Amino acid sequence: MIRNSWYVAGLSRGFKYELQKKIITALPIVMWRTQEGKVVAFDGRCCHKRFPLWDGKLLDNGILRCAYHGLCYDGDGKCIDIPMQRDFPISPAAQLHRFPVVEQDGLVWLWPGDPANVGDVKPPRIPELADPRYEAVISDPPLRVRANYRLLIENLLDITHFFPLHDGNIGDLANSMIPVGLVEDTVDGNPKVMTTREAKNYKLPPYYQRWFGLDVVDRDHTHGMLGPSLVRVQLRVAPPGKLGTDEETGYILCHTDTPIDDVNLEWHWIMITKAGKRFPPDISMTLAQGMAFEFPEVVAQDEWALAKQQEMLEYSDGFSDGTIYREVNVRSDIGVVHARRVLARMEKAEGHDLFGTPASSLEMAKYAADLTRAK
Amino acid sequence: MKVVVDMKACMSNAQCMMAAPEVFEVREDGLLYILNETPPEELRAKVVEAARLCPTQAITIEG
Repeated sequence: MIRNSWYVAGLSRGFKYELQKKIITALPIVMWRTQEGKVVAFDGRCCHKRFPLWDGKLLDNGILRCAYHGLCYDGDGKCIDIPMQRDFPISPAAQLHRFPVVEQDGLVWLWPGDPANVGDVKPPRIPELADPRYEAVISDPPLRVRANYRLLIENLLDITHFFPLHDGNIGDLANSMIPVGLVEDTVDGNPKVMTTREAKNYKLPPYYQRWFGLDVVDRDHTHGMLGPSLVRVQLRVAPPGKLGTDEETGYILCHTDTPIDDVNLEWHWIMITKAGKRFPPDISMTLAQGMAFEFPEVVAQDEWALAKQQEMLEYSDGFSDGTIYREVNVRSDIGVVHARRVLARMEKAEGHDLFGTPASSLEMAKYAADLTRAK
Repeated sequence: MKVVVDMKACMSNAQCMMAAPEVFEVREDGLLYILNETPPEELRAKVVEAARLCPTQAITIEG
């Protein structure tokens, strides 16, 4: 897991003057919106006996009181009352660890890592969420999947899984044949790895035909990881030759990816379209509402696949004859391979390897190479 | 014999490293390094095997 990154802790509208429990990168975190309107985040353990502070109480005067022995904390996480020891001064050590929080585009972002490492890194923007020319539907509550966070990123950067996983809704085999391009960049301090796919005179799979009211299109499809916490998908479709005109339609689909721990993630998907578009199969709905209504069928297939992959990641890679299981990356895995390099580098900087095979299998490959060299 | 790798096609599978570690090395950074672009003739069998094993067919042998 990578702690030195911004992660979505929740939606702005979900934070009120009430205690919330969040586990992010295996850290217990208590959060609330103060009476002054600011979202704050602290270590979720009372400094006295580790009691979970989210089970405590916010008093009328802005003070958090632990439910166990009644230690009280102010909005800066500083202990201001130890009921059983009021005749002594309170030690400065009685202070909760504070996590940096930023509210942006209707989302609450939290940095679980060392605050000193934030530097110029900003939470990735989703500018359309703050732009009235667009409309968004956000899945809430978030999905929780028993899978390492990188599996969701890899799923999103490699859409050749649309066939067969999403065959019959958003996928078909033709989609897997579109050549893949790659763009790497850094945006607001976040590493970006983006795949690009362009196709002309492309016959849309069934759901896209219904959603956009189009059959054969020119299509431009990008999938971009922005750090470990956000993947932005942009699909532009239009009748042949009409991309960039008023006839263009499509969606922006952002996926937030917040590691709860090594084997669990939390995921909001955000369906964004231009405002004012209707959903062709049912014009009582906007396009964003209609797609968001049908999209959970697709997401359920991905959840199923991610949990299965996680299950298989937990078996040992070694066989008794000294050989090992190794993933075979094909050409369309270009986004996945580059994303793994970026994530592995970030994990390494914090003293970890990517969960699962990549690092260990490289070591095993080196070992096998050494054996070959010795022969 | 000259070894040419299409680096855009290389997906760092490291199969080549296992077949011909004298010529190919995938390092911790996840990138492939060619240790010897013009390997001696006695390594030909290993290099041919490396090219055959490559899942993305990124290796070609000239000469």
